[in-house]
Amino acid sequence: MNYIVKTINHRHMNKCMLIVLMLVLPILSIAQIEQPQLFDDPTLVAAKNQEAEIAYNQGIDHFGRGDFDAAVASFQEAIKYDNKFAKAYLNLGSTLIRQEKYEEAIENLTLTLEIDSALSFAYFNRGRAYDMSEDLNKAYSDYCKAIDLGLENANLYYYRGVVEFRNKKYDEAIGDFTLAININPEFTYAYHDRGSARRMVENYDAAIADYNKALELDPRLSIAYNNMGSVKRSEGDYKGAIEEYSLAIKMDTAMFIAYNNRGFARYLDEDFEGAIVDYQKALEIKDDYLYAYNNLGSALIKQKQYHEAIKYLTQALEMQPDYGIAYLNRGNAREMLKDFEGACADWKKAVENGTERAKNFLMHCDQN
Amino acid sequence: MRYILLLLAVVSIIGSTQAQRLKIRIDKSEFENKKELRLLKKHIRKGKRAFNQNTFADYKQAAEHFQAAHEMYAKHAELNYMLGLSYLRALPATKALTYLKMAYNQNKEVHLKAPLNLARALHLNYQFDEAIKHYNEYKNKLTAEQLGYADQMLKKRISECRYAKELMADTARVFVTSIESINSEYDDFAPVMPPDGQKMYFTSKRPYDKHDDLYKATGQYFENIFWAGNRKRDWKFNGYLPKKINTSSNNAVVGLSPNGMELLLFDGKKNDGDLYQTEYKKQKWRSPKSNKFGKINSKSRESSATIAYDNRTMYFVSNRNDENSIGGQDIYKATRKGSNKKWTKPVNVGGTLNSIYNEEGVFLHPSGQVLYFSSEGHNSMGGYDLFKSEKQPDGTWSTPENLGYPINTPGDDLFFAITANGRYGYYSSRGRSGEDFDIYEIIFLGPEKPLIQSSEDMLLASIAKPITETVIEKTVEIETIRLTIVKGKISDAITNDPIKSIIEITDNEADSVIMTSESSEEGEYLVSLPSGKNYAMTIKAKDYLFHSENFNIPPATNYQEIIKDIEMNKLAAGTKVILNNIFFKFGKAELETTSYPELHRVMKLLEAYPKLKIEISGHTDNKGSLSINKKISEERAKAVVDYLLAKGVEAARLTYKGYAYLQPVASNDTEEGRQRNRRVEFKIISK
Repeated sequence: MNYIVKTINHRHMNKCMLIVLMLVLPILSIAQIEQPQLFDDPTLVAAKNQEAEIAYNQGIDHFGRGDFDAAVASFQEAIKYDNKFAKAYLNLGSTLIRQEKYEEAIENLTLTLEIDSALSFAYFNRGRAYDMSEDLNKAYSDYCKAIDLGLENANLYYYRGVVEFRNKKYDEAIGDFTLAININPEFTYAYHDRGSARRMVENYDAAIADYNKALELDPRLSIAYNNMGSVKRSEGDYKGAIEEYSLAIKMDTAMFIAYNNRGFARYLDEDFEGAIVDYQKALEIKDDYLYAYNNLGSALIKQKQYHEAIKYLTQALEMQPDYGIAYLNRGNAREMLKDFEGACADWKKAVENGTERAKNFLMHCDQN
Repeated sequence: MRYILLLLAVVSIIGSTQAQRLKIRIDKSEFENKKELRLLKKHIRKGKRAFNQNTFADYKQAAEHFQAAHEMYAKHAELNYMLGLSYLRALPATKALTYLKMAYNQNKEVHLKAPLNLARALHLNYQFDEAIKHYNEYKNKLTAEQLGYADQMLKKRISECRYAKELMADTARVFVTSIESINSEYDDFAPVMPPDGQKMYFTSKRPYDKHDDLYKATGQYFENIFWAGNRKRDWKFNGYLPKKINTSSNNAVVGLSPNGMELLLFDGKKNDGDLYQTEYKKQKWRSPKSNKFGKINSKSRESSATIAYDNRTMYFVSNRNDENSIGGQDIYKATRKGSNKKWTKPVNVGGTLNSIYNEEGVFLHPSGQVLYFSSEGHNSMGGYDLFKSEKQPDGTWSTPENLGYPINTPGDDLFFAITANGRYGYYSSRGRSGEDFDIYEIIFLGPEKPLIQSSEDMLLASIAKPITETVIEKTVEIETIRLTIVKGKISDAITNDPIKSIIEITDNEADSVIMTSESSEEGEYLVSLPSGKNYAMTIKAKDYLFHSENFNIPPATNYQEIIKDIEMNKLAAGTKVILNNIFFKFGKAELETTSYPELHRVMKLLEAYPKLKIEISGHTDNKGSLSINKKISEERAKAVVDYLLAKGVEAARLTYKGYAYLQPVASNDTEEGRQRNRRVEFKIISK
């Protein structure tokens, strides 16, 4: 499933600018971007002794047609002719990102910056390459440098906010998402993600307002419904949560996460039968969905179907043998079947696998 | 010569047999076969005769005859009513309901009390709304004059039904299981056990050996005492107690002393029922005696009893009619100053625990903090229910709390005992399955254990990577029991022979002996120590040096069992004893006041043996230099000697020495070992 929505506004862009934009920002195209570009129009290439520029322009053509291999070859040829050709390195790096070759991309973007350290877009794109290869600290550092160099770009702030969010610096993330929204007031994802950051700091009302704004901009954004449901669930509004999860499922019928979440809201609302149906549906969509096995097991325990519960919890543990939570739950089911030895063994495994809560259950384990 | 089990709750609410007598008229014209008519008449006649005998056994017999008659003449309302009524008294309640309902449907006016008896059968069969309807129907049938006492009784029954509905809506988290290995087809009840739950003594109306006489009052066999052993949750029936205990009349066990060595017995021969005590000595149960219960036993009935862990407080049940009596059988409390002293005049524990109805089967948890008992009052769901009350910080008992369904039933649930760890409870219940009282084991599961759900959200729109959130159900309070059970065997250090000893528990802070107990002839002992005190446990035996152990148990310490075998040394030159209850200020040679009880014991020993010469030695762990350790160990030994000198012991009888870490008794590699090495010893130089 791909939740990345591409919402490029083409109205104010000519074809050339689009080509440059695609090269410079190969994976940034998630919101409207209208700021002027920093790079030369490739048609400025002169006729004589400019093989490097010719190859460079061919690279842009190939890129435009989606032929990334040919584009890479052309940009490499341009560099062969002119090993100080910063833009060729930049576009080569950008194309390699599109090919998901992040290490090579980082090498070329680093070379770009060695030639021209003021190229803020090179920092931005290298930041993206680091980001995509999960090196969040380096990504954050490059995003900051791009901003320090004066790049006023909604996406840049947005991505830095995402890194901050992932590093659990929710207040900083809220600040960057807000800057992104200031630059682009119709930036759907920035609203959505700011809502999530506000949820994490338990500012639920503001989170709901942000999710609502995101849905106003994109009424089919299923994750916003799902997340709104989770905010309502956190606030104890289980029925409200169930409605939101249902809307998420309506927008994306294959959204197994929303089924799992709706099941959980129903579980908390003590509608265990409804929860079981939802968990089963999540498993129909994704038959290796670990959490649904665990949750289905828990709901079956509530329905006193202990043998069935153990079956699903065991499946979860076969899929992930260090899943402490499932050990705790299975221990509870075994206790209800008077299998005290089995229960104690499970609770001990739960503790070994980080589910500390099971420690409290071990009190009578040496007395059975 | 009464039973301890005088429980005819069913009868008591229904009224006397006489009041229920009913003429069964047979329409002869319906019987062409005269032989069949004669047989029918015979069954009815025998059924009525048995019914009028007014005992459990006879009601059972009446039910058999009426049942046979019913098979021949099923449409007769009066016959079905008598059949239902016989079952209501002899059980099972399911059959009572079947025939009382049948009779009622055939003729609502079959008997004035038909709605009442039907209501009771519905009540016993958990059909509470219908039961309330018929209790009210009966109430409305009575004239104001007839209502009288019945009004209060009916209100109570209706309340019981309402309480039952509430209790069943929020059931207790327990497993209740009949202990098949010890239950018989007869009444089995009143289990008692030591705090570690390793043995069970109980009463049963089963015949055995030559004990097969019937008790006229009930038509059942006499009550006798049996016992069972427990190994890894598997109860093994071990047979009956000897003739000294199981005499030719009724014999019932109603309690056990804290160390498990003395049984408290009920004997119905005297004063409507008195309490007795029997001791296990030299591998035999001794003849029961009541001499220590002089002020406990009265002309009225004293039944169940429980003794606190300190052997100085006792709760028992009596139906004496004193000025403080609340009503029916009440719970009383008595105290004494030492385990061999007589009990003082008992006092009624008051209206928080006692209701205007009967209380029975009192049991104090070894921690002394929770009192369990049965009551027909409070919020009982019918008959006797089990309740618990907790001791509050001001020493009063909390409002009794019903142990709930499925422990309690609309019938009688009685004689509860619980192991010290709070995990296993035992009690007797009638009518849960079949007709007789059986002993059930309760496994307490504690508060519901929360389950954990896993969920995840896609919190970042640009990343198709969910962020997991683990949501846990609300936390629950984990019930803990703050109690330490210390048990083990006391033996001679050289011969390994068991020694019968006195065990003295001292509160070191308060400098007072709070409890004395005895080991068995086999040297086995068991003491319960509630958390929150620094205890000295001193073992004393004739011709032996006393042995001391220290148990410093912080208030938050949860339930634990410590097995501590003790080796005793004879009083002879060269014999040593570690003084485990001597404490010094940190890093100093200054005695803590908590050492005084131990020092008093040394003083008493020197007084008892005036020629005794001793050496006090100080020992350390191996931390630090030899010279420093030598100095501190010697100074500490000297501090002990100085204390004894100040108390008047002749200087010529005392020497002291500091050995530093040169005579370790444990490895210095662990903190536990180092702690054992830091000690003061006492050695006999000459006797």
